[in-house]
Amino acid sequence: MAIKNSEEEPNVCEERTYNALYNAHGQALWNFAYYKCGNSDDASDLVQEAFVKLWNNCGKVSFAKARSFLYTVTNNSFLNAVAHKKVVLNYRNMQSSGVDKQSPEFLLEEKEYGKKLNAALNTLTEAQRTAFLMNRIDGKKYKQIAEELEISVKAVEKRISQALVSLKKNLEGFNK
Amino acid sequence: MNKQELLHKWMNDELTGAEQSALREDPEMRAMMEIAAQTRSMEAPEFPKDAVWKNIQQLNKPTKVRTLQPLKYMVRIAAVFAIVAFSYVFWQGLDTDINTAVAEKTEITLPDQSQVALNADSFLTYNEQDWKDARTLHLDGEAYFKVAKGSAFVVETDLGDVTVLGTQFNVFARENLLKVSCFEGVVSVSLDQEVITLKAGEALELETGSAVKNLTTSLSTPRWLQDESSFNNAPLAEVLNELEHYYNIQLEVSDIDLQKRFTGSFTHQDLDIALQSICNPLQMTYSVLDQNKVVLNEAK
Repeated sequence: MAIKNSEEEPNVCEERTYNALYNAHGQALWNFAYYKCGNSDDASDLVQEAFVKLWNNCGKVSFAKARSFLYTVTNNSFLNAVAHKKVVLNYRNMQSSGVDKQSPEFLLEEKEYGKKLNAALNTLTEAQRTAFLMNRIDGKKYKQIAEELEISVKAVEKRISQALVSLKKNLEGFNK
Repeated sequence: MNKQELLHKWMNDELTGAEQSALREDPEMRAMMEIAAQTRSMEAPEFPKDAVWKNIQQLNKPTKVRTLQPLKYMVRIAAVFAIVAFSYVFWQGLDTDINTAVAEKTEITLPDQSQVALNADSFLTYNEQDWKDARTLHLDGEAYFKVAKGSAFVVETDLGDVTVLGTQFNVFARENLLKVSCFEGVVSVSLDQEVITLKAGEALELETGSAVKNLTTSLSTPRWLQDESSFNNAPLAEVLNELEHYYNIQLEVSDIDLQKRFTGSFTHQDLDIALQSICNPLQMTYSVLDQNKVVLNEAK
């Protein structure tokens, strides 16, 4: 008798599977994009682009690899957009140096402290903020974050430690 | 375990209540835990799930159609190729193949009224459309040609080409043996290395790997046209090979030397007479078994 050791993998090219991938990962991917760029519209664009790319490559991407494909594409698109934006920012900074940096707004109940925490989060580097908020807001374990960012767990630990140290410094005096 | 590691464990919800309390003793750790806990109650803005999905589907539609197009395109290309191939066949005409079975002989008239007698178990190919431009045919087997006067007439064989202008000649081209006999006019035989000209009454024989033998013939037409095969000091193997082209038999030889020489002829009409004409001079006996099996033996 033939032994079937694994169930057949769903095909990403199938509309049903593709839709299921969107339902499973769309929200977390959008958050991930938002932590990076701090803008809802840009986050939506990045998610859109990632899913369209997945559809166009559905024959080459296995179901098991689909999630990491989505995160990789989002990250790459973000880096491309940022590399472009940096030039614009540098140019603006030369004219007026007091301009706000990109500022993600997060919803927080306690207003005063929330504002301060928001501001502190904005001073983090993109890498620190993304790893930290994936853990805090999305409740992802380090291992999963490491997979999605394609870095080691040690690197995730380092980024989150740095984030905490930096936040603590920025919020000094506010904590009881 | 140092405190940093414990902090990371706590961030992953892997710390027991007691361990947590211990960690909180450290003021620096407690401050970080406060911040982390506060961040825990934050939310990202709402994800416009349906709107984004709509956009994705919009963007995916045209690309889906596009993935089908290469196939359509290929069908079109294939159709063009098919039309070209068909018109080529109609324009050029297909090659005419003539095939004779064992013991079957046939006569053909070529488009220029040249005559070909095709011997048994032979294969002849020529192109009727091209005939007025090039009188070329390919032969595997044996045939006798009576060529009408005109441009060069070429018989291609595996061992060499036989070219004539207008004449009567015989070509034998089987396996690794080529024999050309000229009965009238002039025949030119181009081999790999040389070109040999045969006049009426001359013949040549070439076996792969050995030198060309020049022979003469006193006949006016080849023997096989009179339903006879004749040999002059030929090895027995060649004679028996030839016999198998005229009779549907399987020969079995046990203790016989196939290099034995045979001079003489055999008829294509009667197997018994043919076998006698071969066996008697060489002191052999034969017996015909059923299923067309013939066994040859040395005479005791």
